[in-house]
Amino acid sequence: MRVVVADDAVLIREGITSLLRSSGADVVAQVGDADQLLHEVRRHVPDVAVVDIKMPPTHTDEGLVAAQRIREELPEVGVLVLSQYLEPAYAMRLVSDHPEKVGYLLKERIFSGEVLLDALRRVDEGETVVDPTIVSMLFGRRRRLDPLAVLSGRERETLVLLAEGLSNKAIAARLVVAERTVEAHVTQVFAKLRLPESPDAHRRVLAVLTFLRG
Amino acid sequence: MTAATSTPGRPALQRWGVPALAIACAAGALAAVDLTGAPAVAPTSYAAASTPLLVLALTAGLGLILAGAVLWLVRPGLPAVLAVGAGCAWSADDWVGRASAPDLVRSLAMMASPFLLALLVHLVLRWPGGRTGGPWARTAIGLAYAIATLVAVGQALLRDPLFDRYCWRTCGGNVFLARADVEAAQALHALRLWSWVLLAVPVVAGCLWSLRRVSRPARATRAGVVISGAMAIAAEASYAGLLLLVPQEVPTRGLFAAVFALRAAALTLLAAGLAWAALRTVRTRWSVRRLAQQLLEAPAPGTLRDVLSRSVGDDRIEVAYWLDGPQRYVDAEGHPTDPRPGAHQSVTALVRHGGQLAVVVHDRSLAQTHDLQRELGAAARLAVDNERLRAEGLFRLTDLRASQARVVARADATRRHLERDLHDGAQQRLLAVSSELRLALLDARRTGSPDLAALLEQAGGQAADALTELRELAHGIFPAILTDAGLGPALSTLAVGAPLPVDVLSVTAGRCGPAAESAAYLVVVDGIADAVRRSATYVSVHVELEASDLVVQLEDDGGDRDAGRLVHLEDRVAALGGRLSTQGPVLRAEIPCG
Repeated sequence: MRVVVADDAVLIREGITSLLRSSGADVVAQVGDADQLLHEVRRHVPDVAVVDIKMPPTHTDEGLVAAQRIREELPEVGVLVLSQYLEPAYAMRLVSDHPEKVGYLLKERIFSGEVLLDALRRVDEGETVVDPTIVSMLFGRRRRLDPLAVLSGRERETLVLLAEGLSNKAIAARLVVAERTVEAHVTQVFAKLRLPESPDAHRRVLAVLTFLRG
Repeated sequence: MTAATSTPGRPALQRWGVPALAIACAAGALAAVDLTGAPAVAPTSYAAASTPLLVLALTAGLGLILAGAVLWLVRPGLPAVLAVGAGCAWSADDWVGRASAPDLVRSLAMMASPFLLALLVHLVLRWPGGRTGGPWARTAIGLAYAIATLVAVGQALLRDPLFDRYCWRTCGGNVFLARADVEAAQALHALRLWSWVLLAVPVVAGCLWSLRRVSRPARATRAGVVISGAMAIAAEASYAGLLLLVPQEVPTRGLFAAVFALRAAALTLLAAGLAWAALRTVRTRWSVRRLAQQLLEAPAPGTLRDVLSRSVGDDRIEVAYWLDGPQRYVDAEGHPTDPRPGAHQSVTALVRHGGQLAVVVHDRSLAQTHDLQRELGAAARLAVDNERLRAEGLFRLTDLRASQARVVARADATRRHLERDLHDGAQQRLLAVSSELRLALLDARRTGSPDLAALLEQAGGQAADALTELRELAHGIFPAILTDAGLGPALSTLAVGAPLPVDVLSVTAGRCGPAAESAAYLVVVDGIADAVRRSATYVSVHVELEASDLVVQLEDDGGDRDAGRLVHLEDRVAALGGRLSTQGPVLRAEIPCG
């Protein structure tokens, strides 16, 4: 897998690069700001770009803006946005513009286990990745009437994985059930929560996240 | 000092009765004398003795009567009546000596003239009115009247002027004569004279002594009448004393004429004193009325400049007020200003007690035709003072607000810097550590060191936990997304992570200054915490832009709010010039967007 890494902190950039390389990925470029990122992505057309959300000059959401640009210009390039902030708003912004081949991960998790590589792989395969920490934060929200009470245990688990952006196949693998079962669960969940059923697997992530955020 | 007040709408008779009476008396006094001015060979009154004495007599009599009338119009009361009475008693002597008058009139006049001293004593001791003088005054007055009544009635009944060796005004014509008793009549006459002398001394002394004991303003109002009255009494006493020494009264003789002139002069002075008192009352009343009018018409705060501009016809006029503390000029709204004259302008300073109050920048021509300092007058100076105090208040308030806002902004900036330092510093380093631990772990696995790998994995876990804690800490210090993306995303995250259901029902998409947004965010944070404390089960949040204010409204279903708990929020909001208020279950903050 060919990857471009963008982060203005050298240490992090180096760390990510080393990690990817030691896992067999090919880091074709390392950059420190959004302009350089766009330049290198256009040049190398990698499989995935790993992008820090905060970069010069404003250090606010350059990463998100660059992700949108990349997705528009080069749909074949996936973007994994890394953030130090647990902000559902950023994740939803990313997911609502171009849901396929994007991911939002908390930086603090990328050096545990296989999180980074898994996410990269999933993005490359066309999925949407939403950091489970964000999903559990949304699930943990206190509500007056719990709309999730109507769901069965399995349906609830399905919903969590839906929110994290997993495909039916991935959900089936995670829950160790048949894909058809997952499909049935998904239909049930959408019906019970009165969510607009969308054939597009990616749109459903946004629907679920919007629903959860309230 | 008691002043009789004139009540509006008093019956006309009451108001004009005494003056009408006075005019009648004045007419009588004039009629009593022979105005043709031909001095008689054997005059039967001082007025007929010579022209100067005629003039003096009339001046004293008419003066007292008219002064009494004027006093009544201004300050109705006993003193006015007494003055008229004294004037009549003075002029009665002329009626006694008027040969062509009917006997009844002359007899009545004979009864009237002993009352002169009593009336004067009463007037002077009871001036300016009411209970002045105390018990000894009451005694003196009572005694004077008693003796006068005794003498008047006694002599009316018992004195036959014909048998009076010293008769000169009239030697007959007493219609009241009951029985002629010469000794009694003489005794009464002596009583009258002695009483006048003996009464006068303590009365005069008492008057002058009482003047010393009163306050300065009281002395000013009383002195005129009391001193001249004391002089009149002393003059009457000297007349009585003279008669005791020289019983035969001859008006043409120098001594008698001189004493008469003295008496007339003293009475005229008294009349003048009474008239002056009346005038003072009128003047005081008028100036108080005028002051009240001006106070009523004092320009509304902040409009003195416009009022001045209109009244002097200069629309480039400017007023700047001097503040001693901050040592600077400010305008009517408390904004620092620099009053410099422009083209064709000059500056007039308004000073008071040598200290500067304000400056007026005005057209040069104004200074040439007016003396602004003087013409602005006391009342305008009051308005100037008011404006100055108000301007000073506004200036200090603005100053204070600005300083409070600076403190708040510094605190916010510190937090933002702290968050950024954490993000760029500790968090990055810990991430780097995390990454190195991961690499080391992968290495350890590859080289087949499971123990080391396990250790490194554990260390990695600790680092990850530390990172989570740091993230939450940084978010608690300051949510960076507030600066980056505004209140919407920040409040949304806050609502999701809240310990009770929070619905952000509306958030304006518009951005405001960082201080305003921080304050609004804090209002929601503390409002939620307060709701939790009061066992609420739900909080709703509205954030809207109304005019130029960011309005945050929180509503919850918890117990009653305790205003004291949110004081720090009030302070923060007020420091930015905003307002925090509670209306039932709704907490409302209005924060200038800025």
